[in-house]
Amino acid sequence: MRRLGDLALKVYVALVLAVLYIPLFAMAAASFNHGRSLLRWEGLSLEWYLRALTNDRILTALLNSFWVASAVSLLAVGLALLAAISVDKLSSRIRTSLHNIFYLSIIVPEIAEALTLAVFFISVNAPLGSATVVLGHLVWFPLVYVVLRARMAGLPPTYEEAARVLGASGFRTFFHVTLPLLGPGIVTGGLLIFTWSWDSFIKTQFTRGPGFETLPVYIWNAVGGRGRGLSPEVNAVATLSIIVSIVLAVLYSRYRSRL
Amino acid sequence: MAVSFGVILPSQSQIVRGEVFTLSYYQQALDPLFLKILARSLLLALSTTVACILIGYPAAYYIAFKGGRYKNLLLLLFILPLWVTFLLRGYALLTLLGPEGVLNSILLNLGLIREPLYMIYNEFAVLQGMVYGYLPFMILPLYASLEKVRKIYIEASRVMGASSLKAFWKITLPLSRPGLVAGSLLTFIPAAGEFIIPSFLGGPSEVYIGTMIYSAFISARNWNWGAALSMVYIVMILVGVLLYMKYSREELRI
Repeated sequence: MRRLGDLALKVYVALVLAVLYIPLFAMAAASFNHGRSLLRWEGLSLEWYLRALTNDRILTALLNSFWVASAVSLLAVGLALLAAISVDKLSSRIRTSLHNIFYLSIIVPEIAEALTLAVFFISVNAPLGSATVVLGHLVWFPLVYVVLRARMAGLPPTYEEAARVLGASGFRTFFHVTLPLLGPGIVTGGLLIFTWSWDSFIKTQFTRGPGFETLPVYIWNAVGGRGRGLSPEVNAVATLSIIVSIVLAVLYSRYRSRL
Repeated sequence: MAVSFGVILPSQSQIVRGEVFTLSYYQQALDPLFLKILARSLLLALSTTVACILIGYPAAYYIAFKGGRYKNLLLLLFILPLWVTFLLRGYALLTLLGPEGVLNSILLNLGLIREPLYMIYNEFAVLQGMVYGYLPFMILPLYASLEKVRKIYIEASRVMGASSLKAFWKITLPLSRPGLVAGSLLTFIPAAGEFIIPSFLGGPSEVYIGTMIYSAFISARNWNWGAALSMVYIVMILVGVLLYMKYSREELRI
């Protein structure tokens, strides 16, 4: 009886996993179909990948996604580092309210945050474009902050104290002791915000200017909305984007285990 | 973030148009039609959360207690979808279930159907898509709290003669409450304002608060109305979360 229950549970978990993955595999499989319509399988081909990667609009979108995510990650890591190091100098009451504000940007749903940011940019007359997109994504920097603080909590202050006692200046201690110790935290936090930025559709859509497209925005413009149908080029770039996400996830879990 | 909230708080954001302070956009939000949409969004979020608990709990239970040497692999398989954006997962559902999708193509080729089936563009399809999207958000916190349940408690209750059902009901389930609370919040809050899934899978009448905010801002360019809607959404979520916290006697820990 108990065996049977375990077996049923095992089959059930396999089913749940199948449901989670079948749509993604279906999309990936469709991207290799030679024909335009999904209704007929016309043989394996890389045609749609070739077409997608020679399409200027898609290439620009890919490049934009990449540099926005890189810029956001670098800036966010810098910002989070400064915040994580200096926050200890604040009184605990201010620190708590600061943390609450930080957490707010993680917990507030993306669409509400996106609209808030857009209204803010418009009200201060900032021209919407790539810069506002980067700034908008940067509001997610608490993600990195949380990871860094978690790493710092696990580090004894002895290392820094030893460096100072042995005569290192504050700067030297920071660059030669603190920063290397925070390394895994920096990489993990950076990967996390890189993914959020890479994947962001709603926030980008609200804060971008006309003509500036990232990959998710391109995909939405090509197939988003009701009854817009499917596009084999989108299947191809979507599959590529998922591969990027999976690589990021694997890297993340490797560094995460060193935290 | 703080600054932007400062801006949205006088949300009717006349700042944008340089008009005077007005509550008229909130008045608009009290319109019965809008209240209906609000109720529908909450209902969708609630059914998504309940469905995710019912479907996710056994899976989380299996990984935590019976995963054995496959535990880490299973965990990874449930984490990976979280790294793929909803936009692509929504579109993937479309390629699978759409009228020209892969499933229809297989069924047509097998001769099981003559005409493509319309499996999407209705409310049930939206719910399916939501559960598909949010399930990992429920399973992971559930797993995390189930993992901490000490087996010895369960064994003790069994030794003292409790049936396995009773042991589950009296020991495992209450001890997994933090995971239930965290998973429900992680699902309910974004689900109430979900935009991507309904716009891929919903029919023309499936309007929710997320799709309304989107079209108010992007299509209609009515920022004030969009800001008022967002405020209603945020306040609603905050009140809901606080009530839930109070009711479930859990502290907000992130």
